[in-house]
Amino acid sequence: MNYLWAIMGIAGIAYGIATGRAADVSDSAMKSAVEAVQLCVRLAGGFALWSGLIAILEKTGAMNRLARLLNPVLSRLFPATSGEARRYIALNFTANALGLGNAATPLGLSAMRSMSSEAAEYASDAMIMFLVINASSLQLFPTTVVSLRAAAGSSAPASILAATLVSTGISTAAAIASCLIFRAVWKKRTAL
Amino acid sequence: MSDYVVPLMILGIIIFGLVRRVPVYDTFLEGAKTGLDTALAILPTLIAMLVFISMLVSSGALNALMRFMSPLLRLLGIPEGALAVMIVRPFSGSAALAMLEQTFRAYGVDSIESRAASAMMGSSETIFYTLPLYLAAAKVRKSRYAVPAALVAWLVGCAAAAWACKIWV
Repeated sequence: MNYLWAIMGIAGIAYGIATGRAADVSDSAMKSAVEAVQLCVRLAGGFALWSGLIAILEKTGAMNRLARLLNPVLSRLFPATSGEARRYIALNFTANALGLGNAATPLGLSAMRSMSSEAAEYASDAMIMFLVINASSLQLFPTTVVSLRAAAGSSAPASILAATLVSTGISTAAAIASCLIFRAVWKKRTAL
Repeated sequence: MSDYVVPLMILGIIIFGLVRRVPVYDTFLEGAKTGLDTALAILPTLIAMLVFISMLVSSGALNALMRFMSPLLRLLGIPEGALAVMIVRPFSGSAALAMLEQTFRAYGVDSIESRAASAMMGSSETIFYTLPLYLAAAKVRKSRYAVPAALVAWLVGCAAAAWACKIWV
């Protein structure tokens, strides 16, 4: 993450200066810093609402039931994680599948927190599996895209549903597979 | 149908909470507090990522990356018109949506390019936003193979989106 971030910044600044767009770059840097704070405020509302509702759900014991329902899958994907972490993972996947991004993010962050042990500098295999599955999208119904297509005058705005569903499934499968492959390669590299 | 998901879910949670005799109001307040803490905790990461991503976009570096990668991606059977959405998608969700609209205008909404780009939009996530956010929550600094693994999944997912749109015309 350290180098990736640095490279992103250097590439942006160097390319901007080289192509004479230094003014645009400094402009957009300032603007997006402000926008990040505004985004945070907007996110905070959704986070607070969903975290509050999820706290209720937690006390009803429904989260336990959901985690138990998904446990055959979760215990295989995330061995050596606590019950608490799996509860959050189960709910995060569910919220993601339903397209509730504002609910999914605080759950995902809680899942990450409960997977981390203090003083761990490296991301664990389970954390990376969770991250990469999250980054591959689990959403079943792409509401934003469908409404955008309808607004643009598509004759069949929902015609992409089948293709989206198939490619979401494939990308999630690829996420799991690539995690397993990279994990094996990484182990060998660090063992050398 | 999707209009009803959120209200029904909230309704369900509250009724279920009452049935189970949970002090719903106090519990909500406690949870909302942790939600606000979470939002504040991710703010530094948000600023760090969004500022550098916006510099990549405004300097034209992302466009250069796109030009550099397009011959390679065309080999995978991804239509050229869908490339803009595909490349921007891992960096910024809102920028990718803007690209998607441009693709709609340039190629027509029901073209193969637009449909492939739409499917890509739905089948991948903002990798360079989700990953750092989650890593920061776990207070982890070394992400090991998380980024390459996520990029492989993105590549496969986008190629799958393009092919699926070619099959279902």
